[in-house]
Amino acid sequence: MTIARTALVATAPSADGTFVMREDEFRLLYDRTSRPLWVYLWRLTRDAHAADDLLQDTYYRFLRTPGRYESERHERNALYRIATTLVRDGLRRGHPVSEALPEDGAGGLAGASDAVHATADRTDVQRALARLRPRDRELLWLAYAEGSSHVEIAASLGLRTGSIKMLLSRARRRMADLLQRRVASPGEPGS
Amino acid sequence: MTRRTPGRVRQLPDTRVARHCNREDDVLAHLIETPHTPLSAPLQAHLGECAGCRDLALVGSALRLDHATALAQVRVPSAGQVWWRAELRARQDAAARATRPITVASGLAAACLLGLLASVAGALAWWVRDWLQDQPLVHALLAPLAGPGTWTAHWSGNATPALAVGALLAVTLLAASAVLAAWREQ
Ligand SMILES: [Zn+2]
Repeated sequence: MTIARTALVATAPSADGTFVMREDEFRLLYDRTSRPLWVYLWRLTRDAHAADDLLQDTYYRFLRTPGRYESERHERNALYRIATTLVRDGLRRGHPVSEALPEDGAGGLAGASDAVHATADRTDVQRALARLRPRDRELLWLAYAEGSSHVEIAASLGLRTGSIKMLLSRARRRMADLLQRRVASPGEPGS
Repeated sequence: MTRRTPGRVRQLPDTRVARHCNREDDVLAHLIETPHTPLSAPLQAHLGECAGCRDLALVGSALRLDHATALAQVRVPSAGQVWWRAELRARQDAAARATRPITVASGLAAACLLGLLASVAGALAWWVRDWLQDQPLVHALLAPLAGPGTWTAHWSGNATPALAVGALLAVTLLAASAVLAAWREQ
């Protein structure tokens, strides 16, 4: 049933051996993964500058870490694992990413116009995500925004595959509560 | 008559959060694969009676939309830029690694130098004591303050061994702190 795809992602170390792949291979990986990875980092940190720095750091660590990837999905999971760890380390060091809630139009994407963030729906999503626990944010984003499977989520977050369903269910319940509360609260300006 | 296909809802101990419905996969597949088409009538009907799938539809569609919009707008640095910065950082890391043994060596050298100075100070103390004992002027000056012979006896009896022990302690502490500093840096 399962097709073995060993060595599908065949990479050669850079000429001086500094990195685990050559620049042309990195460009392909980067073009495939950088945008969703940046959005993931941004959604976890709600800080475009932090997302920029973490993106750079994630690829650097990936390039320096030897690993064999059976598929592009495996490679991607490894990247998300590094990114998630970096965000969690930042949280542990006291970067207050979950303290300040985004105001309408605030906490925007790098280079994006304010109009992008003006819709009430997206602001509600941002607020709801901001109120969730970090792990719930990670789970929900990977499962629904990115459409990752439970196996992929487990690999990206360092969790057991068997626990994902239950954790997701609880996180989803919490976010649904937050979204519904927001919709139900009358007289919210801008909504 | 509408044919309803309600999913089997398994009630787990935590009734508020732990519902699993076998239609969740259908709802999720719809959200991910055909988000712009309306839900099928049976699935729509199921949402009416299954809170878990309603949560999934609400949260899933909100996150899918948010993701799609963000993805369409995001600007990331070019791959070349990220590669160049990674190379720069690798060089800085390599330079830092190369200087680390030097830091350890200089820490140990400083400890040795201080130990040597302390030993020289100890040896000098003996010599100074002997020299002072030979100076009648010093005897004349200090005699009224401490009583005859007291100061030289005190010095030769206690101070020199104390100085040597102090020097030894200082060297040990310095060497330990140098090793600790080097270990921390690594
Ligand atoms: Zn259901």
